[in-house]
Amino acid sequence: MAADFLLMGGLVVVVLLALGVPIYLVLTASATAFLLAEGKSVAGIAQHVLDHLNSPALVSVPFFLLAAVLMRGGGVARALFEAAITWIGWLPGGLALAGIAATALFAAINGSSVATAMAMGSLLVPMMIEKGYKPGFAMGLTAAAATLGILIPPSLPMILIGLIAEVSIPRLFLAGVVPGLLQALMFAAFAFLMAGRVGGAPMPLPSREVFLRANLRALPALTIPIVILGGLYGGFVTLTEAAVLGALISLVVVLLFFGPRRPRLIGGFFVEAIDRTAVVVVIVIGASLLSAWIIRTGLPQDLARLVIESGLEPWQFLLIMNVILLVMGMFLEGVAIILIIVPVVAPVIREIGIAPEHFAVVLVINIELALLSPPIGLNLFVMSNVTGRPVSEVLRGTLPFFLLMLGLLMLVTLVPALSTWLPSVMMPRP
Amino acid sequence: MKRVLDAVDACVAGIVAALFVTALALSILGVAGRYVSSGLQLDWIGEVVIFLVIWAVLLGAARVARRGSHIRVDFLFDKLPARGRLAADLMSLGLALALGAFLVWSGWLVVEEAHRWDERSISTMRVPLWIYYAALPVSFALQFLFTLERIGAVLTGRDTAPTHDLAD
Repeated sequence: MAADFLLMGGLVVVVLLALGVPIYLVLTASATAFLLAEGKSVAGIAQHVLDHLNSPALVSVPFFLLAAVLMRGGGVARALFEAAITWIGWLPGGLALAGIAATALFAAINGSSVATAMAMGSLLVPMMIEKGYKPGFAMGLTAAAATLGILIPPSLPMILIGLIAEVSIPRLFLAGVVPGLLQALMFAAFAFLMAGRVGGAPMPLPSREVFLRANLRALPALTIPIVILGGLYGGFVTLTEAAVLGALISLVVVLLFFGPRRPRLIGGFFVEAIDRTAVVVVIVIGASLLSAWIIRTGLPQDLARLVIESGLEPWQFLLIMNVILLVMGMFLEGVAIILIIVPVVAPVIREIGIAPEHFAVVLVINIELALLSPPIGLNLFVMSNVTGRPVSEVLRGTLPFFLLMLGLLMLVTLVPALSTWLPSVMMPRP
Repeated sequence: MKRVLDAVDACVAGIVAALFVTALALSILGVAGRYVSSGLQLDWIGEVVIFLVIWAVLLGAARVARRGSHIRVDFLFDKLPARGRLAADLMSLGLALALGAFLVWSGWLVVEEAHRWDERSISTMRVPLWIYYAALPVSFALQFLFTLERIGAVLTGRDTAPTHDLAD
């Protein structure tokens, strides 16, 4: 009976999603119907939603997004890129290496991959092409490197995972650092080795004056990750306060250093940050209701028992999850994947002894891959959009990086310490 | 009608910005206060910031609903013939209307109960909780209104996008 009901419910959800009904609507409406059918009161639904929204971690989201919206304009990205060129631009494949470094830094001041792709794409790609790099390589590199936005902290997907699975978000942030640096290093090694084949001469060694000017200009932007992450892990501020400080510094940096802007425009940035938060929050509402229902059905316990009885090792379970997530990634957007998968799988991984930080990193790398996989990989479209070149060309250019990231995914799946080591050192459990 | 709703929309945007700016300012005060003097440490800031931000976000959800910019899976939808797309659109909007009405009802019950029992927050400010709870029914009442507008627009083939948008 319960299984029939579950299957039917699942089918309704899939059909509605496929017909293009907004995800928040499908999740909220179906969960509300299921919960009412099981005897939850009318007022109980709104009460559940309001209790879930009353969360400090959720409130950090609009502040992180405000920083991202403010930083999206070219100024900050350009300052970081020009500073990075003075550090490593003179190496073989130097412009590509500097691009990776600047993208990783940009990722450390905002938690969105699409914002990173927008900011870096319109800057990096034209410059690399101008300096003789093959366009496909330039676009593929930038689209793939931009996915670092969600692996290197701060990261919006990590915040969502932490909220739903009720795990410490600062710990999840730390878990992404080593894999994120590994991804950047893998890309850098590839760009270095391919330097001869993809074109692009090294940049000249910077003069003292150029070096100083570029680095001074990048300094205000570079203080942001230091304040956010230093404040958070030094124990000076909470997650929400760190997000607030990040937004405040972004505001000051944009106002002071990157051209005066009209106050009306700044007001618009505040509204845009809230609108973007709302898009995510309404899905969180639906997912929290759906997960309340899923827990009532006992599905996670059944699934956990099934996994334990089948004698699957944790790594085997994760491999199966990877296949499911890669397929989901082709058709669903990252937020949706998290909100559908985490409520069901979080109780299971606890039962079979997988660290939540480990699972979160595996999940986020899958979402990075989802951003690059057709037919709906967002970063592919952003890149095609900002450069005016066809998606198919972006896709071909992305392929080698996609394969490198698959390698990273395998490595991270099979070696839990890559994700769990840093959190265990910096935030040992009491 | 569109002009009235555009005015409502712009008004909502103004309130959203004001709430969010206030939340930002209060949070900064909270952090600064803690390091400047323990006398400035106010226990209600965290709580009030949550209430302000959730109000702003739920009002923002109404703006998102009007613009139809919710995340959806559209690769199949885009392949439907025009009539199919129209039918799917109307189904989405009908569902949104029903859900909006239900959440106004459900949220109203919660607000009324909190008001009747005079439920208060846990900080020393003792904020009446119904003020926070009211965000949900208010948001979905606005969404109901904007959804009606969009149904009218889909049926007559007009556009609901406001002429001037603060966030553009």
